[in-house]
Amino acid sequence: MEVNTGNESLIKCDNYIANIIDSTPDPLFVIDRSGHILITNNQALIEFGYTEKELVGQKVEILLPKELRGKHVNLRDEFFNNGSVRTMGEGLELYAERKNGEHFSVEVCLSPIVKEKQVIAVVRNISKRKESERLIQVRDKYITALMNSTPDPMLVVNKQGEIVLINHQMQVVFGYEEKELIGQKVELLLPKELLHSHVKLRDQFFENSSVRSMGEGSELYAVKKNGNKFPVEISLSPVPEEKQVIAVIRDITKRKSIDIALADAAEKSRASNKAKSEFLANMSHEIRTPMNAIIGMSYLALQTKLNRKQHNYIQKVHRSGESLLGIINDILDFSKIEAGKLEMENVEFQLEDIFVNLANLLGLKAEEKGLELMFNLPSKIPYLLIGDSLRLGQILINLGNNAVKFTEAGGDISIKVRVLEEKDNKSLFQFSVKDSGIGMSAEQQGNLFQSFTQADSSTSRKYGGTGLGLAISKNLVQLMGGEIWVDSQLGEGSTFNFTVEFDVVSKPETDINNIDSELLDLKDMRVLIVDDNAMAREILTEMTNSFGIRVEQAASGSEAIDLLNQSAHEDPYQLVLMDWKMPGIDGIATAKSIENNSQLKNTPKVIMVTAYGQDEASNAGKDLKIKSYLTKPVTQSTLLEAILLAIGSNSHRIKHSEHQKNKSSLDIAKLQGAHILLVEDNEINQELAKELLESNGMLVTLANNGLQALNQLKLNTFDGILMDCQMPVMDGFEATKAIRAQSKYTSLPIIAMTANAMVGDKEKVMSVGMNDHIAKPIDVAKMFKVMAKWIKPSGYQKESDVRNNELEISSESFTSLYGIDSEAGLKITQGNTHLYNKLLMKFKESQRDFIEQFISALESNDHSAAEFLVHTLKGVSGNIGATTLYEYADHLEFQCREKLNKEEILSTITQPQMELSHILDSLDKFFNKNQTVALEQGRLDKEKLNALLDECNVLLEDCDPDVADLLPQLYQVEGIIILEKLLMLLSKSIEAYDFDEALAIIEAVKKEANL
Amino acid sequence: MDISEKPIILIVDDTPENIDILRSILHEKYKIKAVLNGKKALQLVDKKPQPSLILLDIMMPDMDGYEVCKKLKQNPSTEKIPVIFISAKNQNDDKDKGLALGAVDYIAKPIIPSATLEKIHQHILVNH
Repeated sequence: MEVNTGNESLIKCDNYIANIIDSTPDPLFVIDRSGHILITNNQALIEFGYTEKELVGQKVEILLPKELRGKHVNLRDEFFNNGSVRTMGEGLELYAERKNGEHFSVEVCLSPIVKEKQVIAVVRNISKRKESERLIQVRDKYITALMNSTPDPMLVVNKQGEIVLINHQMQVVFGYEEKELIGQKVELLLPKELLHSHVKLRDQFFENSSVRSMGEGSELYAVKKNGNKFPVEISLSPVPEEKQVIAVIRDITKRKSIDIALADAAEKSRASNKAKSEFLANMSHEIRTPMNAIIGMSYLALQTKLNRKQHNYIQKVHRSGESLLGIINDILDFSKIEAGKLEMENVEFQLEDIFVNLANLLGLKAEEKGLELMFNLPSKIPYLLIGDSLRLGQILINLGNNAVKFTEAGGDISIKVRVLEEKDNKSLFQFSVKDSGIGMSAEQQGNLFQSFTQADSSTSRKYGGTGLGLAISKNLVQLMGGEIWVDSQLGEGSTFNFTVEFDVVSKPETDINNIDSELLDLKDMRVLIVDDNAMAREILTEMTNSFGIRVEQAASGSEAIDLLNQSAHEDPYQLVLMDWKMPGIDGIATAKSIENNSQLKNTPKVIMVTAYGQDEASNAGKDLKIKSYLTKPVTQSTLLEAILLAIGSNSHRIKHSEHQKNKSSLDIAKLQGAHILLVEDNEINQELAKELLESNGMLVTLANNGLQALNQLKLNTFDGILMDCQMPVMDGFEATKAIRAQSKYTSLPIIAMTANAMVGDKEKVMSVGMNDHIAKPIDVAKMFKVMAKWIKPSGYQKESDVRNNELEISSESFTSLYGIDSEAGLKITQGNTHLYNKLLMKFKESQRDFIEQFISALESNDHSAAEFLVHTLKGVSGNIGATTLYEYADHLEFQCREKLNKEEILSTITQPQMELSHILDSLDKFFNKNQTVALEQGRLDKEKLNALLDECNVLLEDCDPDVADLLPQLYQVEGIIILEKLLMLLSKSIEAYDFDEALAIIEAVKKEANL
Repeated sequence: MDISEKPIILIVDDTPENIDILRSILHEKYKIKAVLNGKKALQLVDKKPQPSLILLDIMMPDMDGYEVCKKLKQNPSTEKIPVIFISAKNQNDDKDKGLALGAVDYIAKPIIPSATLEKIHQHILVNH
């Protein structure tokens, strides 16, 4: 800076001032009265782009935009006239111009130096500040737009709770104008009851603020200007720098009402569903009572004498009743599940028992349909489990029935059990039911376990069913804490799997697993398994292996014979497990050829494995020395029993399956011939009980009430009384008292039957002198058990009338029998030819081995066993009228009782032996040959038969159901008995209107009869 | 048709029990023929003497009653035989569908014998 001065001290002072001027951050000018620039500083030169020379002496207007220069001259003059320190052009935007012509915003501060008539102008470039101010304004607009664009009301509140900012929606929703809200406490918008607590909450929020929803978990309300309260959701975001909070308020009135409506609807539907389910569950009793009558009475009707047509109708009523009951049970189960009323039991059970039952139920169905049913159980099943065995059985039956339903003849069904996990006292089981049936696509599997659906609705017509079975199974499995699923492919069968966990009471230790001592006998054995079905072979092999027995397999009879021959000399087989029905040489034929095979030094024992009833098999194999029969599906214990029986093990093991089966039959045996007085007022119960007792060999007399019972006692002798308690005229309690009052009846067994098995019932019946108590509905096994405990039959009684509908057997037919005085025999059966027939059959079966057993008893010096055997022989001979044999037996018995030495006894045995053998021969002929005699003697009336069959053919071709009228005529054709089975099939198919099938059967009949 | 002979009614139903019941109602007045499925029915109707009326179940496996009816109506030799649907599917839609396919009537199961007999009687009278 250059300043023109005179002396040194002045120069010094000028430099000092020049320094100060240069140090100001803004451009500075000193201007004289005429507007000339006198002094500038460095900042001025830098900002405006001039050199000092270019500026000093120039008019100040050079620094202004050209358009303003003229106006400025006036302003400048005015300022010099009455200027003071002030900001220039207040309220106006000021601009300056650089040397290069650029304009920029400025703020100018003017200070007059009055004495010199000069002015100091400090010019500040404010373009940066201006820009940032502009940006802030833009941002504000942006935010306002943003706030206004949200559909929800928004507001900003400061720490004092005052509303600082709102958006447009606030006005719309709350009905206030902006000015009515800004600066007001936010509590203005809240319902009165919240005012107080909100202030506190607001303070707390500012102390510990974060972005969050307000009042989480509680219902929030806001109030409009008009006082209306409405539900809201509020989210808060703090602005800590400003101690403010942004609140977004959402009106949820609509959503709330939808929520309420939905909840209402859900509740309503749940309630109505529950009501429906409960109604159904409660209907159980009402539905079952008439169902019981339909099934029970039709069953009874079927036991009576009916013509073919009537029998057919009633049979259909009966079957329909049963299937309806099945459906009802399904629906009731399902509704119980839905209503949450199905409770699981926790009882001890053995898995084996469930499978025995399953075998009984499914085995027959599988057999009827020509399916192979197999069980594959692990060798070490925990012995005693705790759980709901009934429901487990129900699931298995359900899945098993489905498998049978959806598998065509010739297919396989296997049911497998695996223990997946064992820990502490629990075991996790997986059950799998596998079939080779029609299978399912992935899509079909999708809605499989839903109620009321089957894999495909078109299958429902073909296969029937409610579509509830799987849904019920699924629910039952879930209630037992397991899972159920299916693996299947269309056309390739299905496997239904489920898991269930059971408590284990005792580890494998007894029965099938505690077989160590029994297995000692088996250790060195070698067994051959013969079955055409590979899976059946595998399962049987696995089971047999688990006993530690060496096992080999053969897939056919001829392969078996080859294998037996190959090892005839070295390590021969001791036992053959033989499937009965095999293609090629069947089991019976194979067994026969094994027996007759002279190459075999030690003929192996044969166990016949059969899916068919044991009786049928043993009948077919009656000429063979087959040691035991095994019914499919085989379980571990039935297999072991059969093996032990076949090899004659000395084991005293109680047969598990027999034990189960025979519990009742032992009781029933004890009751044979007992004469029972049944005192019961309800007609249906009367008939059902009567039928139950009669069909199990008891004689029943009815009384409708106590009084009638007393009258009956005067007329007849009874072995026991079954007494209903609630009866009109005279109830069971009264009647019992009256009976006991008579001295001769003090020990007559009287058993109460009461419908309400309440605690205390038993005490009550005992107190009036009854012996015991049976609860209704009757559990047959329990009933017989109780009856057998008290009632001892006094002797043979006439067989009841129920059997009348069976074919008449003429008494003359027995006269041809050797050594049997049938007249005497029939006297014993009181002329009942059926009973007599039965006795003869029994005699034939039970006494066949008499001589063998008798001699062996004598040889082991077991006189008492021998005496027992001969005593039995004597008894049964007497019963059938085999008088000569009776006398021989009487003599032998005497000898045994007197303990004569065995040689002496044996020397007298020839005659009884001969006699018995003749009688057995004669009986064999009588029973087995009788039916074939007709054909052998050519007594079949072929001409008549052929004519009738042709007539049938014509009607069948025409789909005329009247063909059924020809059936009785067919049955009357002489000698037709040999074709009885085919005729039965024919009737069946005609009754089912399956005329194509009927035509095929007629072909078969013609072929069989050589027509 | 010989006036002395009973008119023939063909029953098509896959459930033998239903045939039993219809037969028991109708057999006094009519000669009954019965088949278990649509295929067999279509085979039989071509043979003489043709039935005077066909009672047709709707829900049957393989070929349902509608399909059978359609086929009967397409065949010039059988199109005139009146068809009555008999079904447990007692829905108006089904009835309409049946009638649209050319059936003359619709009877809902379970069957009421007297009404059924009357209906069938009417239709046979109309047709002859």
